[in-house]
Amino acid sequence: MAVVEAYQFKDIEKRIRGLKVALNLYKDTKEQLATKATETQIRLLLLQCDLEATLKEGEFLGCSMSDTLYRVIMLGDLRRAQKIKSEFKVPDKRYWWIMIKALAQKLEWDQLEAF
Amino acid sequence: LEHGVINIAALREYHKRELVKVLDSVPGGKGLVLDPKLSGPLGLVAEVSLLKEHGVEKIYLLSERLDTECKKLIYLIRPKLYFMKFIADHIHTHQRNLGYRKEYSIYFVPRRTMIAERHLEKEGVYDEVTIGEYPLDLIPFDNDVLSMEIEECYTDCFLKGDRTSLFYVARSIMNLQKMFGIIPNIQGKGSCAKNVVDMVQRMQREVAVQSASPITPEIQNLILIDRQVDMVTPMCTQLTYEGLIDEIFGIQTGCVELTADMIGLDDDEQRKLDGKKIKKPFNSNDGLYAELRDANFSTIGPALNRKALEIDAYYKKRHNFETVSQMRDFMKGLGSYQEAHQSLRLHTNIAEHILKVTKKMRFRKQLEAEQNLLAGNELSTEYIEECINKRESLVKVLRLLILQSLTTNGLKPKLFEFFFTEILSTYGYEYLFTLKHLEKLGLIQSGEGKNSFNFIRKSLHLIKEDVNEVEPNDIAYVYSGYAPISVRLVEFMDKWKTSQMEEVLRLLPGPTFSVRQDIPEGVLETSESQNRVILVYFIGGVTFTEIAAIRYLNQLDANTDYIIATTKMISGDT
Repeated sequence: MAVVEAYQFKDIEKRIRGLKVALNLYKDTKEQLATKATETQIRLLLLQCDLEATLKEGEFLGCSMSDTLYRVIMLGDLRRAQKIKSEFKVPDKRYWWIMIKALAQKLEWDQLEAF
Repeated sequence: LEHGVINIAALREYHKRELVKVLDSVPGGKGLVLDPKLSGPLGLVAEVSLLKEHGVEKIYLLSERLDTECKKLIYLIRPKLYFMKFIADHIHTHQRNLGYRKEYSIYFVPRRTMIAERHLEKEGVYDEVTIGEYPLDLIPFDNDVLSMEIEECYTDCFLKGDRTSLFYVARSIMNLQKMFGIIPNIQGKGSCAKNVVDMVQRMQREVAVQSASPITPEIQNLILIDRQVDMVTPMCTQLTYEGLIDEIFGIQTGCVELTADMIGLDDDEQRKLDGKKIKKPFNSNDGLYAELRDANFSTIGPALNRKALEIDAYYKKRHNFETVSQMRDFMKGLGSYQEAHQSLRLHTNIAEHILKVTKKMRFRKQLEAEQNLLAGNELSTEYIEECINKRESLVKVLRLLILQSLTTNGLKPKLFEFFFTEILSTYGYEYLFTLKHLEKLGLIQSGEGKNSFNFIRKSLHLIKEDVNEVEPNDIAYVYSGYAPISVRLVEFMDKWKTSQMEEVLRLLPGPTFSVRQDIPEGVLETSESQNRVILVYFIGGVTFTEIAAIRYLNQLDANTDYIIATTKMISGDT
């Protein structure tokens, strides 16, 4: 319930605060997976804020983890993508799929071959 | 049903009469405002001309705004709370813009609720409206299929624990008993089914005090089955012709929306439609469809071909007439052949489209994964992971995951966690709720332990290796080798008391029960010439494939007739 409430806030700071409330509730009820997911989501939102501020292009807020990565790759910042991957412990398999999709979309065949 | 089973048309007549009563309660011309979800079901009860005859000048679908010249309005709606707000807004706007109020009547389907009326009070319009009920429950879809078309039944009952729709189910059974006599034997499986039967018995006691109607029972057996008992079946891709039409195009209250080129209109007519879709009714009135609907899709091509040859041969006959009477015969048959020709064109187009989909690698791989899971072969974990990574539709992923969870008694905790995070990080954190709900419903669970599905599979012979799709030899033909659990329960209904079946039923969720209802004294239990009629009621929805399978059972036994009732027609996507 708290999550629904949190999502009613367009303002990102308020949304994160809302999610933290939800996080505590999940912790109290010992919902391990949901706790973890919520923690990750908070980190993701923070990252997305940061991305929007530093990259100055593209919208990130509200995207899923994979979509965020995809967009970073589309903007050509491979190093940062790699960093996000390790930070969020994205499994290799999924990372490659995202990478292949994005590079194919951009028609960067050299890069694709370089894998 | 052509064998003169129960007279389902009487049910339609009853609903029609009640509708006329509703319309006539407001004399003179009026506008009818419909719940958008009700217009389909109502179309099965009455034609527009009937509405016109009873003073309906215009028909609107209920939405936030209503501009109308009608001075009297009838709302025909389900008691959803946000509708109350709409109606109140209409009344207030009319008041403001016109300076006067119109005459408003609200008819709730199937019955009024306290809370809806409270909402009207809160909006300050309760005194402005006349309130009534239109007890529309089971609507005849076909000769042997009845549906209530209540959408939320499954979620309401199993997720939210809201039992309102069960009350509707019980009432619809009472209604059937009023028309076709008391049903002596009731058996069922599932907690909702039990709930319904308790309600029916209670209601029956109350009625019995008032009057016992001396009707010889026309329905001898009632089987109530919770959808929750068999969630495996709806997760599988339906492989009958009708089932695939539903999977690919979607069938809504017996109608399919198609683009103009599917129907085969000429260019002029196509342009007029401007890319809009046309609703086409799909039911047994179309002779060709009646023949094809329940067949396995793999046999559709040859069947269409045969039909084409038959029609062609008929047209060719006109070249070699010798007598006038031959010609007369030809002309007599021409009309029906032309109709068949048109329908053939439609179904060829549709079958071609379906074939395009089913030929794709993607479809085949999905099917393969499903069949492997059902047969208990290797797990298709990798395939599901690939689907997530390719970002295939979430519904597809969830269907497969549910199937895996159900057939292996829950996913191993590690696997469960893996998919949990993969789905959230690919499709978005919002789906946390979806997953939580599915977990609560027991559809995707983490668990370890003995796999009871293996036992169920063996005891119920769910997997048939040598199934014949052309000349069905087992109900498993509908899924090309997998027999729906639900229909197996129906097939073996007389054996529920045997020890093996008892063991199977114990493993499926919910209580098992069987009760006898006393029929009034002096009434024969069955008339001798009559077939045994069995009503199968699916609480929480039924798929087209299950209907096909039951129709197959119907053909198998000449002395038994089956009728199917449900709260809603469903597929795995819903």
